[in-house]
Amino acid sequence: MLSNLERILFIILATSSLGLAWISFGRMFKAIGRGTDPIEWKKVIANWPKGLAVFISQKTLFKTRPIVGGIHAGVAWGFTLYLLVNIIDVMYGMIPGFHFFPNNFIGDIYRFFVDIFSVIVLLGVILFVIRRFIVKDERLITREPVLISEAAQKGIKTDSIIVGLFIILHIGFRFIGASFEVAIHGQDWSQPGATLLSLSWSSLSIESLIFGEHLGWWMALGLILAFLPYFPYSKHAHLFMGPLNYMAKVERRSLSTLEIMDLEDEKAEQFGAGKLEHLPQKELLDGYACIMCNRCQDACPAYYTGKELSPAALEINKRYYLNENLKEFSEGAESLDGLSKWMLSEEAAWSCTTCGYCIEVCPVGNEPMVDILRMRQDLVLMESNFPQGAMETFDKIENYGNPWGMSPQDREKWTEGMEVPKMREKGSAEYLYWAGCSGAYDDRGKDISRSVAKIMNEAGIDYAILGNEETCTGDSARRIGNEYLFQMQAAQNMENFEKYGVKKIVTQCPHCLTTLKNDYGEMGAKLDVVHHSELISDLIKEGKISPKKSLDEDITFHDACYVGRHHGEYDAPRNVLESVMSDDAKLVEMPRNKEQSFCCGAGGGNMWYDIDKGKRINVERFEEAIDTGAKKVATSCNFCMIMMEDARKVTGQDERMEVFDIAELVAERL
Amino acid sequence: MKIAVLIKQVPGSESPLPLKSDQKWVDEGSIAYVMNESDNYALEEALQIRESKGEGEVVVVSLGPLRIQKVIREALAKGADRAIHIETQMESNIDPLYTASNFVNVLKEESFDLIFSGLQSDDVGMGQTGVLIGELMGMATASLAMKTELGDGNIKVKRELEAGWFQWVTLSLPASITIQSGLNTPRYPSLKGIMGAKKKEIKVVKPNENINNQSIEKVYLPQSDKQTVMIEGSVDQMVEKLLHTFRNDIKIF
Amino acid sequence: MDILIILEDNNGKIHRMGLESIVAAQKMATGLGLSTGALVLGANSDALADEASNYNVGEVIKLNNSFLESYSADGYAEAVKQVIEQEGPSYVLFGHSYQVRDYAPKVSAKLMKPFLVDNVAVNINKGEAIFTKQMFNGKLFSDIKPNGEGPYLVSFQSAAFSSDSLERGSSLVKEASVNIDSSMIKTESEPPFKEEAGGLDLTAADLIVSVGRGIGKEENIPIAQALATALGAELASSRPVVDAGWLPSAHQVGSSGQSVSPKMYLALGISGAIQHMVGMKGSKNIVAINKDPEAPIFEVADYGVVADVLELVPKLTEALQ
Repeated sequence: MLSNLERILFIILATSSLGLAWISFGRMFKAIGRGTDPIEWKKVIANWPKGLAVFISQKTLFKTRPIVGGIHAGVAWGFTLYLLVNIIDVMYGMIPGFHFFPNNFIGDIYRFFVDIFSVIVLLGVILFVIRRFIVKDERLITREPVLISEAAQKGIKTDSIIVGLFIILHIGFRFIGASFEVAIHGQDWSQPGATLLSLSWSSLSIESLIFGEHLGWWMALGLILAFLPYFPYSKHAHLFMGPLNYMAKVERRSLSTLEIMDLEDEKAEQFGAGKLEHLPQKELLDGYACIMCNRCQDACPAYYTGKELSPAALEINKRYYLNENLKEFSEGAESLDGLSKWMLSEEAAWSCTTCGYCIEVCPVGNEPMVDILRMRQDLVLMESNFPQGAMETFDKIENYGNPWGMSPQDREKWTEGMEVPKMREKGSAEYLYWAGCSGAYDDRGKDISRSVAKIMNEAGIDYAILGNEETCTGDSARRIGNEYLFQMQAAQNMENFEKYGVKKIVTQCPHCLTTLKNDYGEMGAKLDVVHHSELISDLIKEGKISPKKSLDEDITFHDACYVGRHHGEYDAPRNVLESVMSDDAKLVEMPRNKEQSFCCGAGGGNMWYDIDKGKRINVERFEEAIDTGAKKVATSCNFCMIMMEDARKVTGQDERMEVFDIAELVAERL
Repeated sequence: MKIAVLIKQVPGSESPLPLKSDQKWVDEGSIAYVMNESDNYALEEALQIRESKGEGEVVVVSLGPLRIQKVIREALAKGADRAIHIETQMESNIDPLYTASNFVNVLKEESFDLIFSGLQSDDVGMGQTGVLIGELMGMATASLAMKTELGDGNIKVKRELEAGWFQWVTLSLPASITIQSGLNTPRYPSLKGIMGAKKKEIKVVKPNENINNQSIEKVYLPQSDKQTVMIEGSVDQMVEKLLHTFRNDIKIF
Repeated sequence: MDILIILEDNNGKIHRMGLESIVAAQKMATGLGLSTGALVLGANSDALADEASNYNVGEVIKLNNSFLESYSADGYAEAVKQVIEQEGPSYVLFGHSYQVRDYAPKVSAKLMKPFLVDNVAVNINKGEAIFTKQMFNGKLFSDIKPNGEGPYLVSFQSAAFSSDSLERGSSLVKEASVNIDSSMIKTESEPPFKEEAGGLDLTAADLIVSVGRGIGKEENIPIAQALATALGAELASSRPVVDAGWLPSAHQVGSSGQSVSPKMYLALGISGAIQHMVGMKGSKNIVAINKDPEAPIFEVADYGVVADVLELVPKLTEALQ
């Protein structure tokens, strides 16, 4: 279609564009390569079906914001089609006489879809631009006091304008060009939109029409050539970096189970992440995949209640730091500033409760929570810089084997007055019942332990407890970043497990659950660990226990983060509740439930220190429970129980709402 | 600048304290041991002084059986440079003159500018060792320091007194000072510190003084002849009974 | 004399702990058939000697020396050591004050004689004095006996003896002298000062509500304050609460805070560590509320309630209003 001169011009421009793109993309991948823990690109590429599936289905965008997700799906599919369109257009322009199936129904279907999708994409992007710049949807901004770099603040606006304009103009001009082509070659109702527009050109001369067609072609493809090298600096890179990130997803045993460090390694100079280059390559890739949609921020319990943390800001700051320093960083320069200076503040890092919502909801598979855990490791192991409350807790775990700092000889006190077999007397058992530190020392925790023991006794389960031989799993230590203390605790417990030949463990504490199952698993232990809700649910199904269906009040349920998102179990506790509810009672779900459950605020070490900012996370969740209208809330975690009970007191709502563990509800009905 | 820090390993505040059958001491087997609280503050103070001077050595000296090496390593992990362990067979001699004279034999081998120790131990609680050592070595002494300011050839110490009173005292160096809890924020050892501590020197020596001028006849649980009236019941009942007690027994209104 | 009592100066009057030591000495003298004497030293020794002569202490030794005009550990230790050598007692009694903790060990080192500290009782057993001391933060008691030849230095805990049982009498005053030169004094002291301007005088309070760690966190302090207000009581606290910054140090009761003796001392969430007990033992009625039934405070309390302070106190406050 083009003249020879145009063809030559195009070749020159295309070559320059590709050259520049080669450089900028090269820098992007080199920058990613600066990270630790190399990505096995062959494996990642081999994972292409996964990436393709997510790209086509767009399913990760519908977890939250379904309407926006729907519009985006239209835009994304349109864009995918346009990849083909651009290739065909280049061929049309460069290859003399080339037309794509001009009189064939294949060509017609193609042109029809291009036409429709052009309109969809245009409308979609216009809607998005309106949403961002006119409606100013506040979910797209990150409020104070979250650290968000100047570069990011300016950059996001600028980038959005550039990308918005690019898409609108690219698609717009292509559409216009198509309308001129129709005007030249005659009406083509397989392109209804273009044909309609072509009616506007009915009065123009053929020279004008040809000029219009060429203009459309050049603008559309020229914009592509101009935009190509810009991709690595734009959030639009998520087009391919997003699916790539999904394909590079790290298989973790659970959301917060990081690799086990070799602390004895004399050659290791760095533990955890203090600077950008200390993060694994996958997490640098996260920065490029981030679409800056802020979904992770929406229900981050820390952000929601006014703390300094926003997982979105974390990834965005990371991306803009990379943008600003791309040349030097890709060439190997050491970062000047530590992560706590620009990615997120120290207080922000400590505000994280490791609830995993950000990871669950991210459409491109980012793991901001993991970045935070690595930063904590650096702060604890390298800098010795962490909240005073955490320090006291470390000392208590180290000296007394529990974070409460209570006597190790009092761990069995909860069994007084009950028949609870001890491992040291029994020698071995099918199940080890792990009460955990809260289950041994906290008043309400002891209630839960007694309930679980009662249920297991009633069902005739072959179990035993370690009792005074039990010592803290080290969960809190690990999540706060103290790998050393965690490994010490793990070694002690694993020794006992060996001694008694422990294979199966049941526990009511989800933090113990994840640590014993996943973190100890990562250290080589072969343990089959279940949550008490799973065991009780099974016992009820098998008819081994039959609690009376005497709960006749409405009840709501709070999903524990470490049973739900971290362990994947949402049904078992609900089955247990159903089994005690009469026909008059309803299980009323809170608006944020199951995968979207809102954290109680105790995780990630926050049980042991206070981030005094904004609203209390547990009060926020408690109020959500009250708003359901139920007078009882059930939990399945010691920490959640403590948080809910605390919220009752602090809000003065003792009369209004009672808190029960699912085990208690069953045990009192046996 | 050479600072000696005397540390002691004692039962933790939440540790069980079972008595030996002869009631002469506690049964060490089931005790959870920790570093004496005020010694931790003394160590931190010494480390901070060394850091602000930019040079110097902090040497940890400790007396006790083999198990105390755990707290010695802790001190090394926090930043002490080396340690001297005066190894005794068991915790039997509670005479501060015994402890002090054995420390003196070790300390006089080197010339320390400062000797820091906690104001008293959380087990026996004699509160004398630092002052005894100072006097035996002819040094200036001060007790219950709430703040220290190192000067040129001297050190200023803010002594804690009764009822919210304080006093600044200037001591010429060398000096032995006992440190009160709360004057600083003790650090947590970094991983590097913990790993490095494994390589730092612990010199083990034997005690050679045998003074035993005060000894334990018997250790026992306190029996109070006072009869505490326990108020019981549900929370509401307890409130009612308390009001009754206030009104009728204690007669406060 | 056999038992030498060292009396401490409290601005020209004998410090309460000195009077308590006299009571202890009087008990030991009777039990062991020994004679007593008292030493006063320092700038106010004349006034102190006058006051001491009104008690049954045997004889009063008055020591004036320019190096003792203001307190120094070296000066006082050297002076007391020389008086001991002059008088040859078998027991030397002190009150376990901050000053004694600062200088008395030096006397022990100078003489190489044992210093038995912070005793809560003394018992005579077969002609021997056995002293009782708390150990392990008050969780255990131990009976300690001195070995070898005297003199034995002994200090008693505040309020281990009550000055109510002080025997009055008439004692003669004699002057003593010691040799001190400036090379012996290795420290320079400035005058003592108080840190809290605008004093909260708990020592005069009739009713006190005191909070300990059991209150949980700073946000809960108003719960205790509300109760104090409802009772018309002053608000006090244990040391950890002040250390944590939840209350200013003016509220602190204990060995390093104020010593109080109100009609009622209501202890909320206070475990009863010795450092605190020492400051409130003298209260006429101690009511303790604590979650932990094993808390040492229940040993000294007149009335005990095992309950969660956060649950009980708001209800109590409400009932009072």
